[in-house]
Amino acid sequence: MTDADRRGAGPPGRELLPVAGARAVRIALGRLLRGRRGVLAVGLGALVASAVAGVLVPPLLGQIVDVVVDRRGADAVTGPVLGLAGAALAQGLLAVVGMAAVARAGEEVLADLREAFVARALGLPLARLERAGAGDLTSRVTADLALVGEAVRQAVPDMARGALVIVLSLGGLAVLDPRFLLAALVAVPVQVLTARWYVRRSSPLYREQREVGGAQQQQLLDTAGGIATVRALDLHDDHTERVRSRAQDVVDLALRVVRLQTGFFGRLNLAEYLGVAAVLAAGFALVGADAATVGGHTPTAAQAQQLALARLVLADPAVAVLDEATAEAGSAGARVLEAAADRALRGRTALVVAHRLTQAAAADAIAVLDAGVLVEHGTHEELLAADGRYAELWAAARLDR
Amino acid sequence: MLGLDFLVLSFSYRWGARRAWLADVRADQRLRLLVAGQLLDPRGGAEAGRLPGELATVAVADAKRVGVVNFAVPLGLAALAAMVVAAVALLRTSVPLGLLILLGTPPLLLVVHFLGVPLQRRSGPEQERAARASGVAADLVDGVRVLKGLGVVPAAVARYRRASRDALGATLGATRVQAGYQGAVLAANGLFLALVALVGGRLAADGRISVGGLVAAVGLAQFLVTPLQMLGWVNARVAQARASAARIAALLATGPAIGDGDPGTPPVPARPGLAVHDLHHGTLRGIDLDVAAGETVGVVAADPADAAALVACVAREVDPDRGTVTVEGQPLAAHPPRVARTAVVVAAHGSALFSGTLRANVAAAARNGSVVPAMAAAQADQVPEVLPGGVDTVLTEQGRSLSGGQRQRVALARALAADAPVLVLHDPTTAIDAVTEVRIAEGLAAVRAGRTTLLLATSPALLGVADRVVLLVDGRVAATGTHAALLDTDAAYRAVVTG
Repeated sequence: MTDADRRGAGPPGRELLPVAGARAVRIALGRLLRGRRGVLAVGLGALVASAVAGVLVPPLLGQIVDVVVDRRGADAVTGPVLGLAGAALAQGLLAVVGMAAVARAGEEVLADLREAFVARALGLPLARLERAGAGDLTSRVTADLALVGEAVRQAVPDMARGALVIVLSLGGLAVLDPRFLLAALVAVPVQVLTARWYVRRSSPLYREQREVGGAQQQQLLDTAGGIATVRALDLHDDHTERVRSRAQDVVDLALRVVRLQTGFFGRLNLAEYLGVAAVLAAGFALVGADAATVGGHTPTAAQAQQLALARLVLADPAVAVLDEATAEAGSAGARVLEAAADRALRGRTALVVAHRLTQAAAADAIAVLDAGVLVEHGTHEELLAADGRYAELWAAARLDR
Repeated sequence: MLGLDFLVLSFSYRWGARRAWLADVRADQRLRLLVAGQLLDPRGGAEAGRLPGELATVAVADAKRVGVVNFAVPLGLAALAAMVVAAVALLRTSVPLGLLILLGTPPLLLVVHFLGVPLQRRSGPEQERAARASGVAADLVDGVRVLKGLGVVPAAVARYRRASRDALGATLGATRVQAGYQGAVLAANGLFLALVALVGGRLAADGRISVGGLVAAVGLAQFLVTPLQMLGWVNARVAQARASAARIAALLATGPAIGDGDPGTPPVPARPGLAVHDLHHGTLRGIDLDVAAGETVGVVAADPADAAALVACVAREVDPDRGTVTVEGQPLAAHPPRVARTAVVVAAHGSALFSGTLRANVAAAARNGSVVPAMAAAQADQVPEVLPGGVDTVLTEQGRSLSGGQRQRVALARALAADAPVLVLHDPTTAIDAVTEVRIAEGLAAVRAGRTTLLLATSPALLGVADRVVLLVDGRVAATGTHAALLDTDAAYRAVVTG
């Protein structure tokens, strides 16, 4: 569409060669792909399988975490680790097969296309070519073919890979809990808007950048090629100004590109934040509702608990009940959470439910429940001195560490 | 917390990337202008032994590669900082696990690097063949008229098909290697992660590190790959930039071809005489020439190298090995180069035209008055008649959109329009037919009547309008006389001029 605009605005008196519409391109593409569908299907299948193997990695890591949390012993780690190694090998092997097949199909299509193009171009009636001007055909055979090649080699595989990872990751989230999927999708509108914002601005800008860069190169060639003439006719000032102004054009455009790109990534950061924050919030809500296991999402749970503590501070209640606010975070994470909880609860009346005794020890008074019955009540020191259930738990916890 | 983190990330990235990028682009531009300034030095010298394409490459590609250092080094520092933070976090979690990851990641990247070596070996020939195929295509399309005229379109298509299949073969080989490489990288990364998970998992299961520590370690192991790769990238950019910087430095270090002259030298009068005394340069072995004010003298060189050497000396392209060129008794070398070249304008054979309109090209060196008489005298007034935009037609680089004969007439018109005190013309009509040449000779005589003109040529039509002609043989003056007299009496002269 943009190419058609550019070609439409040709020099006066010129009748540029036509530009194919979307339908014609689709038909031509179908013709080029004919006979290669098998290779393509194998390649795409292998790439999907490779991506699936890649998506298996986080749940396997989650299993290791579950092994540790459930205290199943060091040897129980071996199974998931072997799974990880298998996933790595499968991912690599399948990727080799898939990429080779897809690249093969792409390169062959590209070769067919350029050969058909040159044959067709050379077969056009001379009068038609004269009307279009020499530059039209030359720019198509060089710049446009190179662009198509770039798309086949880079853009299409990158996009396909990206789409695969997105679909599989969303699928993975959905398998954990459909509500995770919904939360992750929070980022999508921002991403879509960002992409539209970027594409609308970037393609004319990049085209301009290519033109300005080309003009600069041509000017330097022009000046360098005629440098003896520049000297002989004393054209230094003219040519210095020409080079300077071309270079300035390049700098001006680079500044616009920088602004566009940093703006683009800044907006993506926002989308990423929204997505991560939404998944964390959902994770916390689900963990609270006992709907999701923490396995595989431990760091997010720790962070979600921090978010929850922050929410508590913002809500500023007089009385707070914390249910296992530092659980499952591991000792390092728990210390951070304990400190956070401590600060969040300062000046409030709080009932803290905890099985991590370090947290209990910090409380003003401790109530020990066993099988639904209150068995002990007192301060940490009192309960230790009583040498009852609490003291037993405390000793066990110390040994465990 | 998370929101703040993202806010800091986003703003730091935006601000840092913009700064670094600006520094990159500005350094790039500064270097480019430095190179262009050296190239455009009136004393010359920068282009010695370098093709125009090479000069443009130094000014564009090399300057860009050096500029990128300004972008790459901050990224490298950021990567280093990220690595230090990650390393501290890892070692605080667990010393053995941290050491495994910190010491294991560089060898992993080395393995990845060596896996990539065959790829680099392959990519050279692949790009070459692809470039050749695209060159053949552009060549054929450019010459479509000739191909059709010769009726060889099928042969041309077959030739392109061979080049294209050749390129395809090379590309397929390279893509296989590329696929193997990427797959190997994926597998290597995954296996390393499994190893980290194994060691970390066992440590966690034994209670030596917490679950949080395990997850953080696994995450950091994956995170570390990015800054390490970044450092590799920065390293490669810096190495590349060093080579480019060396090329730029070599160009900037090229000494000027001629001296500065003395700005205090008295100015050249409007109608000076030109003299050459005992000039030795190249093939010249001591020539003496005297062109009186207002005179037109022809020089016929039996060896074109003699003419070229004389033009180089008179144009102040070089300082002669021995002897002097004087204008009104004052050595040309005493004047600053730009002053010398305004006094003595040399239109060398094959003078370049530049992109811009036809009118702007002719007027480029015009000091005063209209360009119309000069256009008429050079028969260049016929050129715009066949162009779509007349005198306002924009010429492409080096005036390549014109034919050789058109270019020569436009260049001659430009030299005449300069209205120089001394004009030196070197073979100005070699691409022009004899009838037009005669008209040009008449026009030249009319425009330069009473002006000092040195005419280096072998064309009888041009030499016929010279007051005197000097014959150079073996780097020395062999004969002097009018064109008609020499034609009658000097066999060597006759052989050069009519041969």
